[in-house]
Amino acid sequence: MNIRSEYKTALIVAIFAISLWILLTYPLRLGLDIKGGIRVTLQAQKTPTVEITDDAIRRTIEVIRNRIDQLGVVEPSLYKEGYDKIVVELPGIKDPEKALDIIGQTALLEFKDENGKTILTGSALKNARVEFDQVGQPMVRVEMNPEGAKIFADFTSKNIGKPVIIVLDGRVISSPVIKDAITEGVGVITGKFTIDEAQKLAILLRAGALPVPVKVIENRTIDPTLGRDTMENAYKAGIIGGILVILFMIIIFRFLGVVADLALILYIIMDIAVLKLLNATLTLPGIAGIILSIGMAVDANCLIFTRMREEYEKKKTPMASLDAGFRNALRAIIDSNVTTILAAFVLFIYGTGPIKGFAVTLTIGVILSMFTAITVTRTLLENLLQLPIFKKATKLIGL
Amino acid sequence: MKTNINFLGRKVRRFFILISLLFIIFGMTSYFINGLNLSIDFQSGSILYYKLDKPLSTKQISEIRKLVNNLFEKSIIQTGSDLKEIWIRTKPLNEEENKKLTSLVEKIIGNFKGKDWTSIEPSISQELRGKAILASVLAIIIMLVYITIRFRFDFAISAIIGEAFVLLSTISLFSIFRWEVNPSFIAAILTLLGYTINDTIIVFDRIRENMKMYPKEDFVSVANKSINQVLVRTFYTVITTLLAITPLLIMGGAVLRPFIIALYLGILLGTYSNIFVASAILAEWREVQKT
Repeated sequence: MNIRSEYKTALIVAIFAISLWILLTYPLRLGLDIKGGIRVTLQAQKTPTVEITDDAIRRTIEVIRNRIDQLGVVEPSLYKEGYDKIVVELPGIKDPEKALDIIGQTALLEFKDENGKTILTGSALKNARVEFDQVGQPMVRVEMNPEGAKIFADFTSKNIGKPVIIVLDGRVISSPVIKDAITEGVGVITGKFTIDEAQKLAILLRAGALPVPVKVIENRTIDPTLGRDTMENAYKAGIIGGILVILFMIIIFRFLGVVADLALILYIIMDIAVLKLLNATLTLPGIAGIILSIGMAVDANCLIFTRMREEYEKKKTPMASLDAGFRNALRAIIDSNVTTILAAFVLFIYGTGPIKGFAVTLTIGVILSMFTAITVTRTLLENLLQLPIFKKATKLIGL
Repeated sequence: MKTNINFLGRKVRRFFILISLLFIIFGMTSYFINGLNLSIDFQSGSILYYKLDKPLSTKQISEIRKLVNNLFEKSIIQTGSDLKEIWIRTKPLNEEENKKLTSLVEKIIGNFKGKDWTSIEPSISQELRGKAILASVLAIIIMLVYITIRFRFDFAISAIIGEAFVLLSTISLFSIFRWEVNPSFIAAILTLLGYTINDTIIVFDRIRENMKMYPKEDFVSVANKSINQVLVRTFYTVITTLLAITPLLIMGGAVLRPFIIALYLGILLGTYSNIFVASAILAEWREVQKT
């Protein structure tokens, strides 16, 4: 065992330990199809004043994310689809009606004068929260940012005795009469609110108005029972499939197969660990993809081992055929995997949400399997083929 | 294990190129006439699904059918093979219509294990499909460039034709047999995109290597020798991939079935196309160039 090989072995053991630790401690983020919840697709609506731009959609997503965070949904995922659509996935949510209500509202708050001229909009707000007046009626207290406060102070001092009209999404919610100049930038919105309504309004105001109005075009409720059943079955099927592949490799390649199996197990652990680390969402097709990759990960090993067998006929020593086998198979493995990675890269650049995710998973799988099938297998073989037992019983090796 | 099968003899390869071409023409005709049996995900509508503990009786099923037909003009009722699952597909329903339907259906079926209600606008998946096609075409172009750089242009074109054969014939089979296509089908097609090219490159790499080793030998015989040399590996890889997903095909249930079937077919077709489409076309091309 030379020094380089020792370093490599130590590195592989370290990677194994770290991956195993991640696998056991990090949570797995499950997709909507497994966990259940709702998926809402929103379409941005063009208005005479707002154009739909990439930037507007991006800001809209941010505002909706803010609103959802206030609802307390765990791990929502939002992504743009097409040029004017936004997909919102809310795993494990119990009250779809309420969520829809909050997501879809434009929440454009306007303070207008009696002639309907807009003085301030919701973007001048710093904070909003629910308070109660003397008779216990809920109201929303809003704090304005310095600029807004100044404009408001100016307006209220000039218009004492006149009403200020508070409009939400084009609907008048209250029109209090100005009694004094409001200089400190704090106002209250009263109306005939229930506590729920006041709370909802406060959330909407805190998160801000949507840069473009949106319409709910698809609302899908997914029951978790079916997904969970399918996942449990897929999990079992994956284990059975993995065992079949492991047995096949041992039957065909004997000791070489055992080493490939060790590398395969490392591959599976690393693959799931990296997915957990990237916080990737695991969906049912994603699980199927991982299971398929178990079969494909040993492909490089099959290629190398069959090549080693060919070389063994010429070279007659295990170590020489190991070297020649790896060297000759490497070009094919690299060319085929680079092609796959390039294709995945294009899918990542031009694909939408789920396709992007697929490209990432595919690339991770290809890179990791190259590492395990080439580096790990080779290092293990370089060390293990020198064991005394293989000096006498070369048949056991599987060449 | 050594084989010496003549895969690329003139008559053999022309026969298979012709067969493959005819199949694609047939399949694509079916695709353009019948289209694909798209799941509700691609169509506008609602689907109500129940998973049950006990199988439904034929009486229950006919009651449900009568009920739904009375309520809606167009509807489809499907049951799982063990009668423990039922899908009721209707036009898009609003909340109220849905409540009415579920309460009436639940009266008939009694207890159930799980329930799912989905409503879908078709345009979304259509868009996803469009994007997937665009992305795949671009991916194929990139592959073409890379293979041209690493091999030669004729290798690249042959590999891409082989690739196109696999994707188109998988789609053809789904069209011909009216198997349902759900969104995970797109993921399967994209997976095959990577898998097939992988396989072809392994064969082409061996041809490239042997061309250097036997520069004087005729191309077709070098290519044929190469295919035979990697044949064992080709079989091993098909077996390991299929071993990995077969349990999933059996146990995965209705949701994953279209995905796995597409993978299964694509893997088998990929092996075929590798030899009888990609390599055959390359051999044909070289022969034509020579004369």
